[in-house]
Amino acid sequence: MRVVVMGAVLLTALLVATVVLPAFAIAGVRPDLVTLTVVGFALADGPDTGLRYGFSAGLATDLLTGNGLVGVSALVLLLVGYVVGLSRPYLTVAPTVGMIVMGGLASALAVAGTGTLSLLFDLSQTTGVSVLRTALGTGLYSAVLAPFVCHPLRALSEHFSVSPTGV
Amino acid sequence: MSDRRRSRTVLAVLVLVSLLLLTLDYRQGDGGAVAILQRGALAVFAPVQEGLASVVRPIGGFFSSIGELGSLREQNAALEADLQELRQRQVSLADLERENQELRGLLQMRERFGFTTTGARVIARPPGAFEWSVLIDIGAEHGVEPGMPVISAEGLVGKLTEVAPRNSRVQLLSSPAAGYAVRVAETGVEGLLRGQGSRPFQLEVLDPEAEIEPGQEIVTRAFQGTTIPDGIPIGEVQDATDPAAQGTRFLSVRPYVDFTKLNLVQVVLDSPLQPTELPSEQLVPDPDPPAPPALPPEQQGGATAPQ
Repeated sequence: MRVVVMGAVLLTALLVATVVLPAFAIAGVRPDLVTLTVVGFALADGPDTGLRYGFSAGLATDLLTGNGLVGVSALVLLLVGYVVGLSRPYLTVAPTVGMIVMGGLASALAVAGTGTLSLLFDLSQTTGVSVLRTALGTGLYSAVLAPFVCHPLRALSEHFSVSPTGV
Repeated sequence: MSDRRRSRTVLAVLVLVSLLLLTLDYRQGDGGAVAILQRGALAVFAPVQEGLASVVRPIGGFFSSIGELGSLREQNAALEADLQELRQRQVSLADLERENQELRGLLQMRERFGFTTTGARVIARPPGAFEWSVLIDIGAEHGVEPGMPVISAEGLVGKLTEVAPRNSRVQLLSSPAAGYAVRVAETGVEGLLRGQGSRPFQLEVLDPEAEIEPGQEIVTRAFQGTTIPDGIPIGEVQDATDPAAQGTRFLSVRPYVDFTKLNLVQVVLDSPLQPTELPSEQLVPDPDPPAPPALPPEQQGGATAPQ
């Protein structure tokens, strides 16, 4: 059941990210909702859930959005999910602040990682400066939305919880 | 500790899987298994995206427009100003079109009779309700004189009664003080036309036995001592004559000219004053003069031969 719920969350995040969020773009930058869901589950359940869900989310992103090589987002998001999961014990004091900081950082790193790999594999016509600029904008935008995504996911995770895998 | 090791193991496996997928897709390109899988997933997911988009698009547009509110306000203000200007131009355009039609009508009237005219604009009406004259914006400086007829595109308007250097007064045909010699255009039946203010003209038919039908046109008739040219349209007969009626008959004539909407008129400059008598110095000698009358016999002797 937990897997089904997480799958539904992932699918919803993909739909919203591709259909709804483009209308909310500011200067061409929109929040990275899929990465925020990875951050949300990773902060709720730890690095194990973070890396598994991150891999699944990245793979789904690569398969369903048709952008670039399959495996790029999977690699980036699984690493993001693992690292965010590892930071979970240090953010229990101020969970909301942690969500904002990690949400922004993770989104920026995800965009930077995906952009860098795209440049390495010559998959896009973008430049390094453009990747950095987009990463910064996405990070800031996602940081604003992070509490609104991570808190509900935390509640959902607790509702369908298994033993958290923490450090 | 085992959890950490397990996590690292899973991490390593998934990283390897990602790199494998990446390598496979990169090497095989669009024809590879990974690309086929990608296309299949897209084929399933795309209709779902489309369905959601059709629902969400109007809402997204609403939020987008909030962001553009500032520029929308400026655009709106600019468009309002453009619209106001266009409305004013439309009003002016309608006025120009009307004036254009009037001028064309005036030109046609002038060409029809071959008059030499000068154009004028009605600038004022007397304040009273029983004054039947108008002021026009030309006067003696423009070559006009009292008595000159004034016409519009529809027909005779009246004649100049007072002329100042730059303005003139036109006594309208509808004035009760105005009287004009007229005739029925189709039959030549003569009459006298008088204005009756806002009511139709009154036509006094001189020949009691003449037959006049409703709808027949009434035009001006030149006669001695007048400056009004012959044949200018005035109006049309509204009632029929009654041959059984005896004495002078009076008929109503509907004017062609709407005296309440006069704007552009023309003053006829070359309408000559019809003479009342033939000037003797211009008489042509009779080539076959009649013989003088014979004198009585008692006057013939004394007058013919001296004794």
